[in-house]
Amino acid sequence: MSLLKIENLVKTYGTFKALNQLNLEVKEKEIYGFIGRNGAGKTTTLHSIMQFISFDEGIISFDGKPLNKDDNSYKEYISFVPDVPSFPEYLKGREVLMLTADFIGIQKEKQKALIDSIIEKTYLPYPNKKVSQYSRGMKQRLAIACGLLKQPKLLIMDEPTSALDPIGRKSLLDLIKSLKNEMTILYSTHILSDAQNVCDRIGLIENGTLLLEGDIHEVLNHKTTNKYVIESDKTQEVYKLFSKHAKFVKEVDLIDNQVHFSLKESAKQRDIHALLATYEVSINRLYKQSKSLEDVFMEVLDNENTA
Amino acid sequence: MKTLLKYDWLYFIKTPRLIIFIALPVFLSALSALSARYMNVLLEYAMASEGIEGITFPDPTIEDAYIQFYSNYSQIFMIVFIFIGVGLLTIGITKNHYPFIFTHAVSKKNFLLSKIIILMSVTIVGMLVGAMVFAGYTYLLFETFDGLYFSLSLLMFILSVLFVLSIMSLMSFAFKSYIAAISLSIIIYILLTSLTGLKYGIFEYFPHRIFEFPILVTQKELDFPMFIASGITLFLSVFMIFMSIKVFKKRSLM
Repeated sequence: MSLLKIENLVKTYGTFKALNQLNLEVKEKEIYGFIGRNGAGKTTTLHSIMQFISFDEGIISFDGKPLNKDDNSYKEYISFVPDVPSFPEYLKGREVLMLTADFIGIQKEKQKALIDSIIEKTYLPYPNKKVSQYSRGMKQRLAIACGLLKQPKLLIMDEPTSALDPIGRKSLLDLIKSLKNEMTILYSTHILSDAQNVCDRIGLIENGTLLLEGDIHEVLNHKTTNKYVIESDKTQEVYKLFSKHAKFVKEVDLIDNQVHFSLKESAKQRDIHALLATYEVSINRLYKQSKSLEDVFMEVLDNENTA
Repeated sequence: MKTLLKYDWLYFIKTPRLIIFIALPVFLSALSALSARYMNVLLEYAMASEGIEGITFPDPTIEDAYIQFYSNYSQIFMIVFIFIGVGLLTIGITKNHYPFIFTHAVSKKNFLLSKIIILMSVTIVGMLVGAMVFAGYTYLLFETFDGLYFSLSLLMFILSVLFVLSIMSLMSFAFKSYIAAISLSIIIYILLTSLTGLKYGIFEYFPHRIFEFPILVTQKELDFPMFIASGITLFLSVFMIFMSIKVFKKRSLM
């Protein structure tokens, strides 16, 4: 069942169409990777969901109910972690969490224990320091802690790893993975390896339109790769053979003592074996190159630009 | 609403602003009574030191103390109030606090009203403390003090603060900039206070006159147009706050 559904969303700034008939569906308890280039429309979409901005056309439904601009009660079940979090600088990290607990309506007697557990879960350092002394990465952790405090049905994160160092990034991705069956996560990012690492499904947005949406494995096989790699003790010989005699090959390259090549669309894997047998060339290993999300991303954008 | 009030209250107690709102009225009150009482002595001393002799100044009266008090409040306190007040009203934009607040089920109306309530409450408390210091000091120096009329004049001044606050609120939520809001609020305030003398015909019912009412009340010059003008000022203040809410509701947060 879908928890969040966006249908034909349109948002314009003057003559610029930031969102153009955007459709998106986030299912319950999944981690949905919302990927796209900078300026593709990710943040505009998230701000529309949170009603920080109005939109021109379309419907956003949460838990089956269309959002109404006069009713923000749905926010009791949603947490939003912005890309550049900002808090009252005169408060300490713990005080920000206490204020957040008040906004959520958590009873006073339950606040301390809950806040302590969230601090531990998010590895928030120096909760008793003033926010003005926090780095951007620490503020991002604090924002995530505030988001989790609500124990939301849907956690929306806008580029949450953008300000984190590699260790911080890894621990955040681990945290997101650990939340997998607790809540639904809409995770916006342009760091594709992060999305590939944690997401169940992804949606690729470009120029305000969703170009691709689906299960991460489906998406990675969006177009079956036709790239192969051969490992051999006679790499040079194989390279020459494929360069001169393999008519079914589109491109051949020698990378790191491996022969990388792609097949023409009409070619089949058995053509490779036939060629190797004909010229009696022995190899150690032949395998299909796996696709990364980045490959798919580039492929889809290339196709879009060609179209 | 309770949490929003707490959030705005923290803005005062976790920063030096609350101290400013209490200390400034206390300082101005003490200064007003003292300067009114000894201004003639100071002027005579200053002139004598410059070699100007023979000019004597009349003995100060309690009215001079009231005038001094409201002059200081309308010039110094009100400007500080505008600066701090616009800072609080525009904090969502200037410090990007909107995502932190509006990620929760918070209404824009309550967000704005909370700021108005806290600003007015802190101002009233500061003014009451200042008024008590002024009353004590004035009684000590002049051996007289009209508590009833002074209280009434203080009410008039608080009404003028509400009027200025409603202007600040409209400017803060209509323009997405601290500089624009503060500049326009100060310009409008200076313009209105410079027009207080304009009281011919229909103008005597206009709200710009509110700024001279506190002194007129201490001089016991109460008349019917004054009550009408006060009523209109109150109505206009409420209307401008209502308009601020309307503008804010229509405006996007980012």
